Amino acid sequence: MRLLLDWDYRMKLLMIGVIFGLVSCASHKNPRGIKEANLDGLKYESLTRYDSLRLDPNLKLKSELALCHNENYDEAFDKFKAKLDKNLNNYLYWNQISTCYILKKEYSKAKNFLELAMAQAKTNKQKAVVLNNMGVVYLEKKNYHEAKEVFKEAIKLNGDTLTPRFNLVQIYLHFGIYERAEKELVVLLQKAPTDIDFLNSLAHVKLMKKDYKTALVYFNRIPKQYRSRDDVATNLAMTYYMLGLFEDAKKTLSNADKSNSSYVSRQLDITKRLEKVDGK
Amino acid sequence: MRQIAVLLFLLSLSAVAAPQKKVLSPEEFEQQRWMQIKKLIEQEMSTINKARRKSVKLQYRMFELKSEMIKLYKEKENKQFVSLRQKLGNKVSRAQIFKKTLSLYNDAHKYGLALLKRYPKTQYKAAIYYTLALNSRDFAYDNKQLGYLRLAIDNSTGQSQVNYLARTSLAEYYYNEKKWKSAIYQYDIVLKNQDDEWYSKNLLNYGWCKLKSHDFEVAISSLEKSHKLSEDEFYVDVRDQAMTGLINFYVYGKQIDRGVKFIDNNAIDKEESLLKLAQKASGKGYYAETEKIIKDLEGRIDPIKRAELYADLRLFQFEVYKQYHKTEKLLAVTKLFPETKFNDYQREDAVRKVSDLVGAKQVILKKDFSKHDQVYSKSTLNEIVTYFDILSAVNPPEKAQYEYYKAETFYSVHEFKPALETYKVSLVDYDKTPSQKDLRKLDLDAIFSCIENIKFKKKEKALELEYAYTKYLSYWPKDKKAQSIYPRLYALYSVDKRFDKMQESLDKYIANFPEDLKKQQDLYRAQIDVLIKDKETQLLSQKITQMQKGYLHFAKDEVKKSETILANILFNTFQELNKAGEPEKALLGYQGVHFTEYYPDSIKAEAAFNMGMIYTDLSDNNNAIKWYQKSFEFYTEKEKNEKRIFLEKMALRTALLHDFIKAARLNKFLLKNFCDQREQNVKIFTAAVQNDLANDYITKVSNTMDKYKHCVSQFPNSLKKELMTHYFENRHENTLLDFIDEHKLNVIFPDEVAFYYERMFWQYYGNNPGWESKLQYRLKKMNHPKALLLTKTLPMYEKLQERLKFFKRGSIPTNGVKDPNIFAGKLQTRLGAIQPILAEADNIFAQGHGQISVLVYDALTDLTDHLASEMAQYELGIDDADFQKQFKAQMNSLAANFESQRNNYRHQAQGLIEKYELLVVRRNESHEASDIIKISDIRPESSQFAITFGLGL
Repeated sequence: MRLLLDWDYRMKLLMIGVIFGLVSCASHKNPRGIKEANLDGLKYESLTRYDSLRLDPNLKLKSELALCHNENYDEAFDKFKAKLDKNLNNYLYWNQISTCYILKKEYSKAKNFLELAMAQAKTNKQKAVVLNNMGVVYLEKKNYHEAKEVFKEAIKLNGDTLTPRFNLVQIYLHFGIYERAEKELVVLLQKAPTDIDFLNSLAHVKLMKKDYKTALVYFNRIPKQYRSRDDVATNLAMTYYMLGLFEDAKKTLSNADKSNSSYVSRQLDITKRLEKVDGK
Repeated sequence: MRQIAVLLFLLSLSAVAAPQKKVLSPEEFEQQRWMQIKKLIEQEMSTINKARRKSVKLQYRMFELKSEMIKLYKEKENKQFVSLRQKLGNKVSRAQIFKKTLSLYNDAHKYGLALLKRYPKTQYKAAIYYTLALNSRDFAYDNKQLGYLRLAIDNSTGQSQVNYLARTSLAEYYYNEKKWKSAIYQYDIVLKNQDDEWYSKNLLNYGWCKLKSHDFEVAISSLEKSHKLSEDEFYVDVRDQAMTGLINFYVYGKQIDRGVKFIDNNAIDKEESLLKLAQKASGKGYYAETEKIIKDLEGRIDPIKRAELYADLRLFQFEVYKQYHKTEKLLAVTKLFPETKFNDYQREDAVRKVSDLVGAKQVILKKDFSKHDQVYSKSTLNEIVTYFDILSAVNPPEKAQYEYYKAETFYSVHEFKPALETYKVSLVDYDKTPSQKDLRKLDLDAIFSCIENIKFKKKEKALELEYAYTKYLSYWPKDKKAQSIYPRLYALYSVDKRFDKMQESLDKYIANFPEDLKKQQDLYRAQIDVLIKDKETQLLSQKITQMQKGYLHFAKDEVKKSETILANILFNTFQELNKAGEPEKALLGYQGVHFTEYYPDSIKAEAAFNMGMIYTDLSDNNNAIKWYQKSFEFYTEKEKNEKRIFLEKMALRTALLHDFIKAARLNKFLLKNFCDQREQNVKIFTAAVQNDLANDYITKVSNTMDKYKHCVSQFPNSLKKELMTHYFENRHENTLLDFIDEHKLNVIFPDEVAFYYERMFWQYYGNNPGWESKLQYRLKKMNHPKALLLTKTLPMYEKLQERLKFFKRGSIPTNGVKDPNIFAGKLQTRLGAIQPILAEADNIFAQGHGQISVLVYDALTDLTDHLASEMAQYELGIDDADFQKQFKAQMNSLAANFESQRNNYRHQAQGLIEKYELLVVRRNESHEASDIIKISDIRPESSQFAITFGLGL
């Protein structure tokens, strides 16, 4: 059965994607949220991928960081300010504030507070934490060179931390440095074999290296409910396409989330190819 | 003789009066008159002397003229004598002064005796003796008068004028010598002659002689007759003397009633005479008669028209009642004194009389006072008080003194309260009209003593002491006792918190005893303490302002301490309001203080500063800065510096509280107000810039730099680098280039600048020719190895591109080609042309530029891919199936070779990227997954997956 991916439908898809994108902002829905903690290899380092249910206990505790992840910035900042005097020398306090500003996309402020955090960070582990966030700021401003350097520095200072390694992988993936990405992902997956993003990233590496079957192996390790996630689904659909499994590709695209416009656009690209295959 | 004198006098008058034009003074007139008479005498003497034959008459005339001349000089020398006597007293010798008189007397005396000797029987003999007698009596006092008078009487007949005159003079001589009987004898003869104008006088003298002989009846009759005859113009008027005599005679003769009658009928001034009679009668113990006359006179003397006599009457009454112990009458008449119009003499007399009386009463009162049971005569005390009041009324200039004595009287019988009040009245009176005696010390000593003796309530005592201290200090602000009084007075005021008075007394203390500085400082401190305790902020602020101005030379620390305390008191309420969430009310309070004129500048400044802080908390930056600025208008330089430290910390804290705008404004406020502290400002300048950067407000950053760079000693390179990095990382590219140029950062940070330029270059490469050439130009200009590598390698790459473009266009046309060898030759040529291209590519690789190498790989991948397609597409129009099969197989093989080569290039490119972790922004064909990317660029956007590390370790 051929999916009805006609023009009108594609336009609707695009519109829904845009609208969903807007709605998701308003409802603080985390498109990359992971419901199951065991699938979140970075759960001890970051709340970024906590879904609302996992975030909830922290919110109830009025954790400033959880508030920021819930986009309640004003409340979070008020609480931070109230705690200033007790935390002047606490690197984590400054690091969390900077994290909030990163989430709020106020990167200059984030960087300012990261410098304070770095000044108070005493151990290499602490410095690695701060450097990771510094790298995130660089990434957000597309300063990849600087980002790469600080992530690498963070890993060097604390090889056990996963987040900077994962972030470094994202740079490698962006710039097609797949061997290095794979090497880092292997390390990450050893520590968190079920992490969805780790698996997706490695599957992406394999896809880009044209090792489609292996890619499919890693995609298959991702729980089914996460395979519809826009990024996973896009990669998976492309893999199916490259393997000539066009129906699977179509099915994957059909089930894919349409919350992110850039992924919707990519999915459309693949859809076009599939349509060509169908001789349309 | 008297006639001659009168004649001479008249002549002198006419002589003087005739040519007078100018008005002469009495002295000048007298002198002129004297000279005129002398001249006349001398002229007449000269005329007589010129006579060749001088008759007895002429010589006797000469004797008379000599006697006149004596009189003239006696008159002159007597004036000198009186004058000298007034100056030198009894030291003046008569003989010395009356030299000329005595000389002339001796000359005349000799001349008279010579004349008698020459003419023993001359008719002028008695007259010459009489003249000699009068000259002796009037000019020489040589006791020759009596002898010459007797000779004059003896040498004259009873009816002669000379005899009568000589006898009268003799009677007067005996009268004066108190030889009453001889006098009576001569007067009995003389009085027979009533045809003498001096008869009245002779009767008067005769009456006195009779009185002395206790013949009161004749005496009184003679004087009454003398008095009555005196009414006749013919007789010399001796009524005054007669009445004086009669008053005595009536009393001595116990004929007071007769006297009253005679006076009533004959006296010129009946009331005066009656008063004199009463006085005389009183003196002789006739109280009843005296009182009778007084009663009469009281109804007769008009107190206004005859004020003096009336006053005399009252004074006399005082004497009489005092003399006869008529206490009530005495007091009653004394009470009339204040209304009586005394002349100066009478007033003095009245005062003396009453003073004597009251003095005696004081002695009696004190003597009778029993200290043990405090008993004394209250009536006497009241009398004394009344008498002093009368004295005050009669003699107002000395009222202060009488009040003092009055007070002393109270004090003497331990009536301390009225004594105290009266001493105070005395002082008041003294201040108005100082008495002759300085009573101030006496009064004040007594006042202090009274205050000690009276059992006052505390407040009453304080009031009295205040009065006494104040008075004392007003009189003697600098004496030793005053030195101890100032602090006591200050303490008195302190008890009642009369701060104005405290200050006033302290000011006086300081003015008079500057050496007591420490003590005065202690007193001032005590005042400040009270004000602080009572939160009297207005007054406290005034005191502090005084201290600030150098009052009592307090140390600056102490002044500051006081200011702080005042500020704490003032601001405590406002601080509470602010804490209670009512900042508007707190602001109003501070504003009130700030605009209150009398608060010290430091307080105004502090109020404004606190407002600034509240506005800071309210995030009202404009107002916060406005009030900080206002505070700086009042702070001293030192205080400003202290506030600088505070504001620096506040700016830092504000930044830590995420308010970078506010923090930057505070930083700039500091730069503006401390622009001259250029070394210290580097830190603040840096913070200002960093705070603006935190918001990415690059226009503000530029403004800050422009406006305040002159306020720093140096623009740190670290900050320049930070700015450059920020501009780059945040894509402020125009600003970045300007900033690099302005600060010549290509020289300071060449590696970084070259790096940034190149990254920007690749971003714009191929899509923005303007920026591309701009950046290429800058890179070329830098002369930096990395920049040079790019600028050198890039043209090589572009040349390669051109060659490849040309090459790609050179595919072999196969239409009409029937000879495979021709095609093979052409193909060989074409493929042979690849080699130089590859060599060129190798040359570029050898340069070692990552991005360009990747681009070369892209180009080579594209070339090989192109060639693979080209090879696969070649067909030759030769109708030979085997040939075609073989040809296709060969072309496919070639295509496969090129495909393999293409893949090889991709692997090499990937290897290069992997090896050097190249983050190349330009990579297409050489990408390993370019097939996939061509379908859709599914490469992840890194930031989309970036994960913050928020939970920490």
